[in-house]
This record gives sequence, C-alpha cells and structure tokens, in this order.
Amino acid sequence: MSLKNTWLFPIAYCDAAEPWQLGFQDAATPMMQGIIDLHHDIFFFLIIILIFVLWMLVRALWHFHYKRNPIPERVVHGTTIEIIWTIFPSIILMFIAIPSFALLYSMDEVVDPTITIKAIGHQRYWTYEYSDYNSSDEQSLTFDSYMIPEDDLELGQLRLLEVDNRVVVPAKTHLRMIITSADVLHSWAVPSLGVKCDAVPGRLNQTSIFIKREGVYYGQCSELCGTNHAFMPIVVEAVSLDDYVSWVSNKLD
Amino acid sequence: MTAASKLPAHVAAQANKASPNLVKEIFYGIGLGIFGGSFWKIHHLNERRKTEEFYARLEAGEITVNNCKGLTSIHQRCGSSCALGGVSSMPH
Repeated sequence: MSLKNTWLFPIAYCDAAEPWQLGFQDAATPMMQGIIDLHHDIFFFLIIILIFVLWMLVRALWHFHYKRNPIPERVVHGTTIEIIWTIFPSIILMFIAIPSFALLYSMDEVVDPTITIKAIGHQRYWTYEYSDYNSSDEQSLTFDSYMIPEDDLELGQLRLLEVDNRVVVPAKTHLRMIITSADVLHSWAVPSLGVKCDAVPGRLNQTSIFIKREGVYYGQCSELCGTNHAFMPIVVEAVSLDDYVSWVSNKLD
Repeated sequence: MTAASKLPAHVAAQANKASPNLVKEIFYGIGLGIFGGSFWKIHHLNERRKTEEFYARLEAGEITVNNCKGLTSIHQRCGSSCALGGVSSMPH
C-alpha cells in the first residue's frame, strides 16, 4: 500500500478475508502488529535455513554424483561438525525465542479497560452484552448478531461475513472482551485485531483489545460448532468516541 | 562388482581427486542464505516504515479514515475544495 498521492487513489485497508489471500490482514491493534513482526523475524531465519539446506543438498548431489565421484565416501562420523550443527541451531532458536517471549509477555500486560463487552456464542449467532450501560428498566445493552444471508446482501457487502448488528466500539480505547458460550464450543476470532478466544460453556475467557484506527473488522467463528459453524461471523466496527456515545444512547432508547 | 571397482585404478583415483571443501560450501550456503534473507528483511522494514508513516499521518490529521457502508478507505485532507467527499473503495 502506498500512501503517495492518496488524494488521487483512495486506499482501503485489508480488514477482511480476500480471495486467494496469502498474507495476514492489515493490523489494527498493537497485538496484531507484534504478531506480524514476530512472523517476519522468524521468516527471516526460515529463509536463511531453507537456502542453506537447499544449497548443501544440491551441492552434495552435484559433487557426489556417481559419474563425478565413482568411489563413494566412507565418512561415518565427524565430531567437530556434529558439535557445530548442534550449537548453531540452538543459537538460532535463542534469536527466535527472544522476540517471541517479548510478545508473549507483552500480551499478558494488564491495562485497566474502559469498556467491558461480553460475547456469548450460540449455535449460529453471537450475542453481545454491554453491561456497563443500563437502560431505564435496568436491562443492559444486549443484542444478537446474525449473519446476513446471501440473498439479502446489498451491493458491495461481503458474502458470509456481514451481520445485521455489528459490535460497535470506540477506537483508541482499551476494551475487555469476555467470551463464553451458551451451548457448545465456539471461538471469537477477528484476524485484523489479532484476537482469537475460545468460547467455552460454563467458563469466562477474557481478552483485551486496543484498536488503533477506525474501521470495520471482520472475523468468523473458529471452533467447529455444528452445521452452521461457517455462518456465524463477527463484525467489529470501531468508531470515534462521539459516534460510539451516540450509538449507545440510541440503542438504550 | 560395483561401478567403481570396474574402473582402472588411475581413472578412479583421478575421478575422486577434486573432492569438495566442506567449509567453503558451508560458508557459501550461509552467505547465500543471508543474501536471500536480506531481501525479506528489506521488505519487512519497508512495510514497517509504511505502517508507521500511516499512523503518524493519521495522528497529525493529514489523512482520515472514512467508514462508508462498512468499507474503510483513507482520504487525504485537501482543504475545503476536496472533491472526494464520501468516496469509498473495496478492500484491496
């Protein structure tokens, strides 16, 4: 994505799955950015090792071809090289472990969330509860979120990803998501946000999110839960704080 | 009888004369690996720079994010004469 001449070509961020997609969706949270950075770090070592191993393999095939080398070698062991090829991978693993543990522990850092949202998985839909707010009859803000069937999609909407009621959240705000299920196992996953949290009946799982930019982020249930497992998507819409407050007021009314 | 044992001795000795240097091959392999990995590293650093540039411009208010019918697009602020308005585009 190039930011030059954006006035000529409006650019859209990739926050939903695309056909033939190879890489990650664009990150919208520091957690997802950390995951992508870790992947890039590990992939660097992967490329080095892949090229090295392929080189040694091809050169061995070249040098020890029976026409070039009719008498086979009778090397059975080499202590020095065996020590080297044990220590070097350990060093590489250490270089991989450092950023990996840094990310792992940074994910566990607790920041006081401003808003708590519950996501409850049902077979074929999600229910969201904003218990921080109560309506006049003391009912918390609760709504179901069903997938929009293919026949009801409008032009430009995404098949198998759109829902009737989105999870509206304020951007640049610490959120706490509490995930559970009312029946079978589900998983609340949104790739752009770097979130995947199992919804287990009888258990409350918690994850925290900080969305860095406004946008609409798509995800899907990620734990097999019946015939409609593929038809219960998740859509998170991050808006400005003012828009969020208006939305909550409208919903409570 | 193996193929090697069918050969005259002087031919067999000459065939195995140019045995490869293992240390050189290892260094060549590591060098090539680092060369290939550097391309990936350049790609990664470029992506990180673009991302940081995007968020810096977003914070500075040079660009905005427009949520139009669920499609997020980025617009550059160009003053009151902006002709883009609510234009949005499909996710790339």
